[in-house]
Amino acid sequence: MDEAELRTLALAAQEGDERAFEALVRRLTRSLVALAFRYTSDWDAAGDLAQETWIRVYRSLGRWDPKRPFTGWLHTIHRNVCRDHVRRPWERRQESRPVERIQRLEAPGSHAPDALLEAREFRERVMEAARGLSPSQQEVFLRVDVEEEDQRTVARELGIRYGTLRVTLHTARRRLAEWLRPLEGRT
Amino acid sequence: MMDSVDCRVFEDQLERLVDGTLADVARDLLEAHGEACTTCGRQLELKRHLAGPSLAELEARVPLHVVDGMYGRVRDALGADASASAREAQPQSVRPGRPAGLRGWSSLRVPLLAAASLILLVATGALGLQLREARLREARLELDLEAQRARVAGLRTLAGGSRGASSAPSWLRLLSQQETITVAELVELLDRVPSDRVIVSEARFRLLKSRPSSRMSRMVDGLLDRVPAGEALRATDLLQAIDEASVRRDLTLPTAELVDLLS
Repeated sequence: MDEAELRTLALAAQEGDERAFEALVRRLTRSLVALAFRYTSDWDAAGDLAQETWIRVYRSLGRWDPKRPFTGWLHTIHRNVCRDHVRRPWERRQESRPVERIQRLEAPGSHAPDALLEAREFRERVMEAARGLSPSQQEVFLRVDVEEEDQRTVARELGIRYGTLRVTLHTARRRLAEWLRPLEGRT
Repeated sequence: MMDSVDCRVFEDQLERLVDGTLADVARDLLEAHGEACTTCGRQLELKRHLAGPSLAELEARVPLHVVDGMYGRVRDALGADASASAREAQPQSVRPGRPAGLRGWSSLRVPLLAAASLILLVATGALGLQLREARLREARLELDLEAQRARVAGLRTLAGGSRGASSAPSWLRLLSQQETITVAELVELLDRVPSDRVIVSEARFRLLKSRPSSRMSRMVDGLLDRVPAGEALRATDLLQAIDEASVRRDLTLPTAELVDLLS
């Protein structure tokens, strides 16, 4: 389904067509979960973030400007939901982590549960540490190293020069590497 | 293998090293540097841990149970919000009837009620304490957040409100209105000054290097030594010098002295 078809569905959903909204959810949820997984390394948590995004999208559909690509608008909201998740560590601490949950980490084609759990814990520590970065360093680090966006695109969207982005990124990586040092060996 | 690689080169090539798109010789040199230099080695580890499958690959791996029923769950969540609002508006006198299986419980009513009250008392006490602590934590976080926002807003005002819109003299003049500034905030501020703007002329730069040292000027001298002599200092030079010198970002600088040095 291309952007024009998605736009048609989004316009219908904006007019109150529930089936069009359902079609958007069915079509685009996978990409939202995949991006959120980069923040969580946990499929269920990534699913929760995608769900939160759809709730926000539903409530603010009226504010979507049809002149803008729907997927761009959707991903901006989704990125904010993922960032909020990074900024609210207390929420993650409240989550239970029973052993059974490891079972649910297994998915066809995935790695062993232990490795996934380890990856998730590492990513949680990185996210925790990323909260200590300055806003510009956090933005650049999350978009380049976590979401793996193209660096020149990120620089253009943030309105900064590519060289400035590189300096900011290197500083952020150096600081994170330093902060993560005490836990080395566990990952 | 002798380490002949500069940290800046290593950082520039880090992505390609992790992607595996470097020639063997370059890869060996960089890996040797990563083993010899702790900071670069840790960055390599961090990048390797974060590197993962592409988004397209991840999309293909999303488990069915996460995607299936997403629309239903969204609708339920939206509906639950709507019905919660409706319940708040409902009269309190409406009560469901008692289930038939519980009708003979009258003889146990007093001991059961007493036990239940005791449990409730203990539980609510503990919950109350937890709630109080949570509220205090939340209040502290909100205060911290407010303070940070105010500080950022202040810095944005100092920088002229938008990236690249301010001039060095005006931001320095406005900077002097604050008593102190952290290095992290100074970096934020400099990032908003057009990167090629000259903030210290060549003549002033020479003067700075020759003046007697105070704690502040010693630190700045250390930074300025990294900038080529005989050249004016641009915003981007200072940013890079701060970056390369790994100055602690939480270090607080007295702005009066800073303005004196840079104006």
